[in-house]
Amino acid sequence: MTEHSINFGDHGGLVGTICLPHADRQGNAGIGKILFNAGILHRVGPHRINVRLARRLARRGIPSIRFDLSGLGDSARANPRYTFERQAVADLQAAMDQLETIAGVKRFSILGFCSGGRNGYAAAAEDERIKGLILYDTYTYSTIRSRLNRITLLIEQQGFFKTIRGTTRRRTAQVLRACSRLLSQQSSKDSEGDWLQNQPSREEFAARLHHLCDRAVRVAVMYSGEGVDYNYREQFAKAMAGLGIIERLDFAYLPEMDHTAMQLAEQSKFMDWIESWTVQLHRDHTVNSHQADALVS
Amino acid sequence: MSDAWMVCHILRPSIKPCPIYRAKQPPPVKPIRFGAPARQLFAMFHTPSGTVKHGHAVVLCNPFGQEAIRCHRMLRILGERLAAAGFHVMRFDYFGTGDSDGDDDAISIKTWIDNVIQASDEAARLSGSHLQSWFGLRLGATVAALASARARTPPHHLILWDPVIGGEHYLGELARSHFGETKLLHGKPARPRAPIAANRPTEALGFPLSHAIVDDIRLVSAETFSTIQTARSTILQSPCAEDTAQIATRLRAMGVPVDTIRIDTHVVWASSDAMNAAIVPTEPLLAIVNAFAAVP
Repeated sequence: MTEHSINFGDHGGLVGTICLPHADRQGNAGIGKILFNAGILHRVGPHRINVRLARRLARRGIPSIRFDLSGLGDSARANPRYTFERQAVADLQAAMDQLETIAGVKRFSILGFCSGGRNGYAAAAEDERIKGLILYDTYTYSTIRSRLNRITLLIEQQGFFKTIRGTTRRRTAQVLRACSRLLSQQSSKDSEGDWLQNQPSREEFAARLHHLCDRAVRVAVMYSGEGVDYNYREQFAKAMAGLGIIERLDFAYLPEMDHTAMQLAEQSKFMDWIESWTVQLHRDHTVNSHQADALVS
Repeated sequence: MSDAWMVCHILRPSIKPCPIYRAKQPPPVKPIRFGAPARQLFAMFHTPSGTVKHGHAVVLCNPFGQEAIRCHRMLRILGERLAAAGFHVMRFDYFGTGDSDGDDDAISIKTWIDNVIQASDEAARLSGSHLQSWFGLRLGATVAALASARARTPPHHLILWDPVIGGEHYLGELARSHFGETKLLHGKPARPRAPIAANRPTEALGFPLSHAIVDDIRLVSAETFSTIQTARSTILQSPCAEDTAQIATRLRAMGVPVDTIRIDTHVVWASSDAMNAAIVPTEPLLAIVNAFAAVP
């Protein structure tokens, strides 16, 4: 395994580290892994998970790049002309270009950690080189049971009156925001703040995932057991019931893991799952690539 | 430009920067790797911008574990400000941390001491500077103090911010933070948590605590600072941090001029709440840049 830390992208403003497998495990078939910021943490990820994951994957023959999006970590500031989402997609494409140049891979898998999932989801919709996408704690859809669990949990944590007060305040703020939007006649999609906070409707989300699956992109949805918004294993399946998407996705629920994977034992389970999923994807593409080569020859 | 504004700019890049800010682009910075194969260290190397060039390189020494993740943004901004003030700056990751080679459980204070010296030598080589100065935060300050005694070229100016003085105290602080965060993050207080043995902690806020690092940290005491080699020193003391007066007294007794700067900013370093909170306190950053710039 070898690592190279580089500047790349427009004017060399992005900073990242490419992790390459040992020479005898390298090949231009298969996929490359793209790892980047979780929230505003720098590219090493929460508790250095991206570094450890990159090295595990390199031992399995998979090259990767871990890098900082514009304005985060060590990378230069974002282009003020771009929206947050546009800039993130451009940065992810620059990272894929770089990994393709150095490692020779032409297909990629993205790990979207928390809000990083939104960037990965946006990039996958635009770039056909992306063949795998993991959305970890990205979009959460509630059910009646999850709402009840949430209130029970909050009452346990904060007490009855504080929970009721907090819930009322949250609902009031939502109504006020909606009114303000109506008054200013501003579409929710126009606002970058909303892009950070809002999520697509479940129908819209399912439609985009169907589109990705139709393009043979393998999508995995993962949830931690942090307990407030996503709080039981079947929540995603129940929330997306009737949309025909569940059967087309891979799913993992890690009930003992908190959102940032603070406990070492849970970090291992998280990385084991991602490693195994990525290796399978890599093998599928390596086999497909060899079959395509055989057909051509 | 205020740091609050900068955090706002990171999150909302469409906000127009003020004209003065737009005109001041950050100085060039380059990622590098150095050291022996399989033991390479990662660093960001800033070259000075503007007309003032001090011929002076500053090495920034990270704290431990989650604290290093938490202060990454602050050290980047410190690096940029020092570079803008005419210094070469090396921000590096110790072996087994950040982007450097090595596993998280392969760390020890002895290795980190060697790494500080290596980084200083590399900064001298790359910059051609005749002077090197070091800055260390928390455990990084303690490591820098220890490394100064071993370096062939001791630092010209050594700035220590909230150094870890009592090893046992620090381990207790890590264990308390870990316990508190586990309880907080898992929501239900009744959920099982990883056991933290009071006498032998094995992990802290997402990072392993190997036997080697725990034993090394245990040995840290005020005595650790009696071997410091430097032409001058500045100590930054935050509220609630361990009292640094005894270190200042020891240094003065050794004939080292010491300035102690008391700062009002209280930062909780040992916390996992870095996911949505970069910490860039303005007051200490200004004090650090001014302290380096004031020394000829």
